[in-house]
Amino acid sequence: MSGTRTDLPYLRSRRLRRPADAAPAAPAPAAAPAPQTSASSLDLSAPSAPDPAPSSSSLDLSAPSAPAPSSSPLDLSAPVSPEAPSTGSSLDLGSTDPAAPSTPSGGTSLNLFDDEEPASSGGTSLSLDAPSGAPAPVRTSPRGHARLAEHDLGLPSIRADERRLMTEHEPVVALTRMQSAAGALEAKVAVPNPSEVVLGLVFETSDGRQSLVLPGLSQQGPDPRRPIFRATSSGVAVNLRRIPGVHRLLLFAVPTRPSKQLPGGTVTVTTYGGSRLEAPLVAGPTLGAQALMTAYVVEGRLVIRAEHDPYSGTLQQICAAYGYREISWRDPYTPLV
Amino acid sequence: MSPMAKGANIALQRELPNLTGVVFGVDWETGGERVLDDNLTLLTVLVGANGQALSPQHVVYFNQLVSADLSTAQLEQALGSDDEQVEVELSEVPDEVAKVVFVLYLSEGSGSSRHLGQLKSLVVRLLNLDGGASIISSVDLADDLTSESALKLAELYRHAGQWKLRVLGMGYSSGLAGVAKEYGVPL
Amino acid sequence: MGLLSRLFDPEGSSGRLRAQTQARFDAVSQSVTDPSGDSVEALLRKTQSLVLEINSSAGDLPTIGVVLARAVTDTVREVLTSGEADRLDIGVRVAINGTLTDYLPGSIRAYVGAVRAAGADAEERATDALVEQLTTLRHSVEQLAEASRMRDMQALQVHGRFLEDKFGESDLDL
Repeated sequence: MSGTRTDLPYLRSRRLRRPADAAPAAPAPAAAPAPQTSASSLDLSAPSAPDPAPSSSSLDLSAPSAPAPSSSPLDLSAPVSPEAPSTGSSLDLGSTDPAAPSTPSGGTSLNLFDDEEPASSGGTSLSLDAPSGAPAPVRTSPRGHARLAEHDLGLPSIRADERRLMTEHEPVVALTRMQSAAGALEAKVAVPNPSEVVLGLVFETSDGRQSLVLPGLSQQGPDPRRPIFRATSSGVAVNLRRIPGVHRLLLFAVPTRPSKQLPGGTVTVTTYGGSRLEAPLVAGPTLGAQALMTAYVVEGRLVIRAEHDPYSGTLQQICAAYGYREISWRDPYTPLV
Repeated sequence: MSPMAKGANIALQRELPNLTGVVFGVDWETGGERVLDDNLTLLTVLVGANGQALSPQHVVYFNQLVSADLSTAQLEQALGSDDEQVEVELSEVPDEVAKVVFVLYLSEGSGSSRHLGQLKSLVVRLLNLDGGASIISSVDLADDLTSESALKLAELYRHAGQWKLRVLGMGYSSGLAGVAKEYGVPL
Repeated sequence: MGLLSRLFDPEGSSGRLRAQTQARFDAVSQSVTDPSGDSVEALLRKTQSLVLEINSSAGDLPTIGVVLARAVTDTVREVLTSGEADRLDIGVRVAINGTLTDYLPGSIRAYVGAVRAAGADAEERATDALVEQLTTLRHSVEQLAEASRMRDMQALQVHGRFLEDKFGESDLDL
């Protein structure tokens, strides 16, 4: 007899090694209280509103790094949108009844299903996925197959072959696991003169590496022999066969003219199934780079957002503004890759 | 037992009355072709009586390692000589599932074009989930491949209240798109 | 300076890079003439500031936290730019102010605190709690806006008090 699998238990423990995948799909309706944090050690009274500009040296950097676009940088003139933002139906908190949320539970978290089931002692966590009274979801099979994490994000989805304009009022699309894993995600830019702009991306892998793909400088990454991200003839692409290795990414545009003027046009991102996301590329002056779209991998699903960022910056500033700080720079426009 | 040819089937529980689960393994040889190695993908579909996947959550692959019913799970890293392995707890497979189909396809996201005809060898096998004893292996399915980009390897199916395995070796020229279309998996 | 560094490193031992990033925030912050204000304009500026902070902190947050926090700011922005914005009840504006300056940062702060205090073992549960809280915030803002539209004073009070009870000035239940 060959192939005796005496090490299955070890294998099982490896299968869902990524924390995101190991989490249960739905929080238990009556989960035990979370570990007590030393909350008192946190400065909970710290003001969370944006601090006024500190009287530090950062002030003298504000001029170069915060260009004043001709339009209001705060975009306060955003068009009116009467429709309510879309939310997943599963966000039902069972609280159209105004009495429900009015019952505090020990001053911490609340059970919005109070009417159906009294809050249990020890502080019942609110469950959005499993209405109280519903049986607790099965987390493992007899042999130990564990349920995948699948929190309801309440974000818009997109169908195969569907085209979606990602406006400021509908800037987000969550792809399915299959859409996030099939073929490649390809980003392109459509402008009158394609030589005036290049697309690049900065990324973080699931093992914490950050780097960039920028045509002419770094054609692919992170490992040139087995790239996940690559420059294409007309943009950049992500090989989604490697999606488990992707944590997040930022798509940006770099104008190639010495004036750093960005041409107007459209950025498109397409999936294997033909879903097509579009966002405007706004013409205007830049400091060297313009953030366009972000993508975050959430439990195997890519959540893509058109950022509509009113600010440009040097490439280094753009990367920092989106939390990519583990990159070394030759100068503010040129990463060391 | 001699290797199973394409089209051959075996009544699993006639051979092993106490069988409650199996491991389906795929072992391929690419001759060191890295792009081929990196993009070969195993997809397992739990199919209803209508020939369609029960739901998108009843498709198991590298980005969805467990079916919604928890009966079927792909290992993140296969053991032994297999390149991929899927465990199927036969007793946990929902009654609505008429068959469990195992498909191999070449992911098309790398920017380099390859086809399954480049495979040097391709063998599937079945192990007893309880203990890991080998039950059956297939003949080399690579022999007849040319320009295919996806291949139905085998299927577990119900027959007279028992599970049977049939080796298929049926190719597609349209890759994952063709597979998804056949089983109604949204892309 | 990102959200986390501000929350956990209020003295700001940030380097040059963060100072440069800070300049982006300053452009917004300086224009907030009334930091505690809850006028629609002030709230829109606070929304924008919070967006910058979330993005800047994205490397330190779980991706689901970034995504859902941005969903909250999206919802707030929708409310603040809707046709009803200039008639928003004061209770809604106060609740939105609390969401932007206290509740949402507090949820993230509690998440990070829980993970830092208890390590990776706590991450799964902390993530569940973070998702629950951010989803609740988002939904509550929607409900408040709806109550404002309907001029439903009782619902306004109830939802506003709910937010205050759940998130305001208390240790979040992580």
